[in-house]
Amino acid sequence: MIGARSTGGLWLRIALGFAAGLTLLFLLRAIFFATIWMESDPQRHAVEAWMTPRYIVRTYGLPPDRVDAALGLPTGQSPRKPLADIAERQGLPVAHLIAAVEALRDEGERQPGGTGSPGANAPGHSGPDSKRLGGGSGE
Amino acid sequence: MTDLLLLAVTDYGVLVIFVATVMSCLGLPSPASLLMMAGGAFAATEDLDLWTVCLAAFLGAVLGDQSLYWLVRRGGGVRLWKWLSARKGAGRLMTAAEGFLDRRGGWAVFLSRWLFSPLAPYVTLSAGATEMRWGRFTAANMSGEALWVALYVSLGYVFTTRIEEVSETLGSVIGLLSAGLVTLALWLLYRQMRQNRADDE
Repeated sequence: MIGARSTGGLWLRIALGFAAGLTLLFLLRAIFFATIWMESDPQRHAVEAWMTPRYIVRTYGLPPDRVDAALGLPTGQSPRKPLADIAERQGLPVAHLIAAVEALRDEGERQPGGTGSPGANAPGHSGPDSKRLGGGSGE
Repeated sequence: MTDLLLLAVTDYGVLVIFVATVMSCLGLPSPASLLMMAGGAFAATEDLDLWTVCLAAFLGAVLGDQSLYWLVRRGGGVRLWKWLSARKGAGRLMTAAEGFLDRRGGWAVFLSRWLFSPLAPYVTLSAGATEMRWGRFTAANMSGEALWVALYVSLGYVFTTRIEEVSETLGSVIGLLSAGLVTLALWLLYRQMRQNRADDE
């Protein structure tokens, strides 16, 4: 009887230790991600394949017509689809569209009135792709 | 992984959000919170319709909860609970849990839907197994789920461009609260056990 009770106590102590450890872990995780949240600049967020043209406009504060042009879309007809789908329809690798948006974003930052944040020359392959895709209507 | 999930939302729309909340409420691993926030964010950019996002998430959550409740209640959960309650070790814990659900079950269901959301499936299991009145369960469940959906979709709508960071931070805070609550409950139980042992001796 005493053995069974002390075994129960042991399991309870183990569960208590585990739960307390988990609490501490979540506390540290919350502090870590809150710090990232506070310090992050949405405009420096990497352009991703899941982003839609409207999401890109919103995130990077870019003019919608220029985003459409960079993606080879008719002006004012941004599809409610991600870059991955748009690239697939155009028969292009999604990396091309991502590079085009990055070029547009970086260009906006370099101009007066842009965010002008230093180090805006992220993954170096932007300019030419942007011009090619923007001018080529993507077909 | 997050990128693939967000891609699924933009590809398949609210259907992904519906499936995610059903799975989450059934206790299956599912990034429902992140996807609801994504739904809110894409509603803000007018890629998705706000009310459709809310409705899909809410209906998924209620369907998942009701399915789990009835599965346990009709699928042998009641007998299992009674069998466990009759056992020496777990019996005291089960009886205490049943007493708590009887007194505060509505609040437990309501708060576990949104504030202590990792605990929600376990509360639903207990509600089904202890045959909590269906009307009481449903009222608490629907109001809690409505708040859960409204909270996350609104956060996504407001923090459109930062959903990943907000989702990770909020997920950690909810995890912290839930783990903290379990720690507190276990500590109270441990203290009571020691007290009972001291009284016996």
